Amino acid sequence: MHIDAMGPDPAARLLTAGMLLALGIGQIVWPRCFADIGMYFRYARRGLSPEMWERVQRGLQARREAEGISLNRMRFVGSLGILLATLEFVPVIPFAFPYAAFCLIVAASVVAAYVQVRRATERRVAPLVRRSPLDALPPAVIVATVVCLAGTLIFATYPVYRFAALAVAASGFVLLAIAWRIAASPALLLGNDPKIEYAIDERVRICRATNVAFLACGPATILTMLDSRHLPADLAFYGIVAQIVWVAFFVALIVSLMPLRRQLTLA
Amino acid sequence: MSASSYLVVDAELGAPPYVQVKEQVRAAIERGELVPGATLPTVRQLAGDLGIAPNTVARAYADLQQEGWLVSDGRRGTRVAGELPQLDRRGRTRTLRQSLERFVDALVHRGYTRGEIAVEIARFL
Repeated sequence: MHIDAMGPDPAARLLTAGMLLALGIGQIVWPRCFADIGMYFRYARRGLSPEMWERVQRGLQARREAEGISLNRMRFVGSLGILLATLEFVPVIPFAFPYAAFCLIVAASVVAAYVQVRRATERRVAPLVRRSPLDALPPAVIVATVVCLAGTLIFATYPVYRFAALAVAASGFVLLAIAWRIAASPALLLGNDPKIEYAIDERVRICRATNVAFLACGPATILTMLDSRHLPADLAFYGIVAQIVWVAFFVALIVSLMPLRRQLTLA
Repeated sequence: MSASSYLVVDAELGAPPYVQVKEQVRAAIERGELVPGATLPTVRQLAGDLGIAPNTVARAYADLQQEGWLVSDGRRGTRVAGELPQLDRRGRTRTLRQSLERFVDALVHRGYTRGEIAVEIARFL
């Protein structure tokens, strides 16, 4: 198959298929590894007394139960990852498309957790403090994600990659919209220990919103980096765009990792 | 951002939700948890957090504005008034009685007897 007809080289398909396969198997074998909110609190213990940490643990457990993320649901997401990995071997499907679809499925499972927790309790507790979605989704992440997606759209001007670039950009903008929705979502406090629950809610909201925005950057970066290698030398502009997307990807990665290192703030 | 006050709207209580919101916001101001000039959540945010209609929160805010506890500051939103209304001794007693009535009603509604409540309050104090 000619390279212009096929798009990126088979190595890109193998790489993405391998990644999806690994993610899918990982999700099936360790269903908690991507879904459990405990991972957002790995470094949160610093500076907290044992009693306070115990309260945080209780709050986390109550939140887990309210969200009701079933391990079977996560295993189902993993199975879809494996199924999408097989689509990498169908030449008519752009190689970045299955990965973009997988990111959308993961984001949908996060939204499902929010819907579940809203239905989990009759009693509602609200903090008397004004929030802004920008507290949970910093402008740096939004700008980095938009740069990634805009770079992908520039690749849509090259006929061979038009469909793939448009599909990846569309899924990216949907993910960014989901990230914003998570950032702007109501506080989900159960009322047993509001102070702790609010601290947990804030951290979960920030981590989930930035992670979903970062997910939007993944397929866009892979598409532009791998596609730019196959373009003729006289189209160096696309290479520069790919480099900019790469930088934006790293900015989004660093900003989305930062909240995980932060100490838990309790009023 | 950290919060020092929380609101609860309990559907099992007899008081309508807008009264519950209003009383708790006023209590937070009286306790000094909300200081003069402090910004309150937007109507939309608070309604979303509590799972109630925005009109309910808007009504509570409007009542508190009318009573002088809150001021609407245009685009900057609703804030605690700079000068709070002073409650006289009779007003303070009335507020305390009303709060106790609601508190006891809620516990009676959950199956505790007035005797049990009195014993525990006396022990607590």
